[in-house]
Amino acid sequence: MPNIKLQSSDGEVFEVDVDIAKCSVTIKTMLEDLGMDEDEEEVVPLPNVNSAILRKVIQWATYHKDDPPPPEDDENKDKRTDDISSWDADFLKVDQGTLYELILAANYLDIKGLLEVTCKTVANMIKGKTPEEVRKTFNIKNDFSPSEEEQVRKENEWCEEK
Amino acid sequence: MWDQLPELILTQIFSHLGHGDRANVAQVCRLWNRALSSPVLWRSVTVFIDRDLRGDFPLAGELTAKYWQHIRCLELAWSRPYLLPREARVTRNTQAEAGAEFLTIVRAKNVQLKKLVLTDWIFICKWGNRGKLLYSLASFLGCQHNLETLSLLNATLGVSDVLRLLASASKGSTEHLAYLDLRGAFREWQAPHSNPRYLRLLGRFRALTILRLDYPALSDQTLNALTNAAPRVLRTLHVSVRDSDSRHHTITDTAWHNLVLVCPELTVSYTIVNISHYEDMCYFLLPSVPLARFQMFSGHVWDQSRSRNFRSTVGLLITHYTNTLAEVMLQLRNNREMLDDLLISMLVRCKHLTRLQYDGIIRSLDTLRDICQLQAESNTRFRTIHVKPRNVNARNRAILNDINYHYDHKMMEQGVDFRIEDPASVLVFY
Repeated sequence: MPNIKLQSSDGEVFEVDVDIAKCSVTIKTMLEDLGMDEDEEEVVPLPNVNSAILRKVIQWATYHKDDPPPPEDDENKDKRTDDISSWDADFLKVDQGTLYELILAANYLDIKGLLEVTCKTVANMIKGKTPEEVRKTFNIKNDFSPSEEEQVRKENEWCEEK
Repeated sequence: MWDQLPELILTQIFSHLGHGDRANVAQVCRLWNRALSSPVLWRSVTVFIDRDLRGDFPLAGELTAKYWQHIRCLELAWSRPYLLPREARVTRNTQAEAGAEFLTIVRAKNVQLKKLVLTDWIFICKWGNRGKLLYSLASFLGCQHNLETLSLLNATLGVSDVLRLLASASKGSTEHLAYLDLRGAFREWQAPHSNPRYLRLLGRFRALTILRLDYPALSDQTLNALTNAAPRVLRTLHVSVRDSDSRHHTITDTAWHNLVLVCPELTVSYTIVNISHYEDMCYFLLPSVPLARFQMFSGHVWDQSRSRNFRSTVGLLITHYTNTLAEVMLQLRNNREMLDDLLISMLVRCKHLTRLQYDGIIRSLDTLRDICQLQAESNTRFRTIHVKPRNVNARNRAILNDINYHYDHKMMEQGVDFRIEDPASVLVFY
């Protein structure tokens, strides 16, 4: 299998199997559009991903390299969040900062499966929490003015009591 | 950090949340609130009439006002379809009332759906507001002009109720309705198959490509109605047959023949539940049925004195449907008859077979060897061969190992996923 070199934002170079790298649609189109030849000693710069995160992403992609491609139709997308595989769950036992960076990296590199599973993880962290608890969990500042907050609260009263 | 996530990602996270969590998320901060109004999040919505519409401040009102212009697919369901009769009377009454109000609001907002699904509407007894709910539903359906999918799966309504809903749907959406699911729509033991209104209504859906129904809703008249009014685009007809359905009325081969002439691309699927005697089966295994999928769950057999005569059933499948059969699933439960030779014959003769699942007894493991040999010589082209043996003695275990040893390599060369597993009892090829 031919390899390809990926360079993280902080300059570290990773050598990766081309097939694994291509699970990132961004890298795949880059290789195709720029006509980068696979046997050329070219380095693909990834200015938005640092080495710690890139290492994680490569680890994920290597494990999932034989997965079937995700189904196309978004219409019937499954809304379940309890179907995260145990490997993924273990893989995502990381601090919030890393999880956040992973989401951004998955988004930038366009890796559907990784984005899906990280988003599910965050959704699971939100489930069953009050707005105040959510803010606390994710360290988010309440930027509503008091009157706005009252307005929003009223609008969403419909499912307060469950 | 988290309050700066791109909106698209937030939307994807929120797509995994239910109504209640979404309401909380809306109050977290401005960005999250804004992300929540993304149309994608509201394209497809499930409302449990008995759970989501409660309280003085029902979900319906605000949700409609804010997001309903985005909705294209609505599923109306009951989270607890079965209730004790006493409990049911009172609570169902208020719930149905809330449901009716909800539908009135949605209708007033002129929401145009592509897909409406009713799931598990178990209406056992008559009660006050039930009629009101059905009335609102009918008038809502009458205002739908783009409906492509209508499913009444397990609605368990009376014939007149279902027909009223179909009539309303046919007012607005005859041009677009492509998928109609009536399985379990009619209350048990009610057979609408010769009801003139039903037949007239069926004929009105000219864009119908997929129709699913139970045997009591199928008859010569039904087939004729489909033939004459001719939704020529009809491609899939799925028929569920339960218990003694087929004894009540029979269908003629001519009716099938005529329908196939008009709809040459039609394929038929049969799902058979709880009947297994050949004498019941042969009524609907007629030669002109373009049968592509056959699933049989043989279920309980009360009468053990008769042979179920699976041999004749499977034999009929092979002779009648050599050129159409694509998927076969036989769940037989302890068949006493030998079917080995018929399985082989099916594999050899039915060239379009892409899937065979057999859950039953194989008399001789040589059958398995023959199946492997067929594949090895490219007489069959399965991509997966999966054997789950159960009750295997030491001698047979040795044979299984031998087969595994013999064919493992050949299968790998062909790219076939070949597995012989430990206990369990299903045999799958596809």
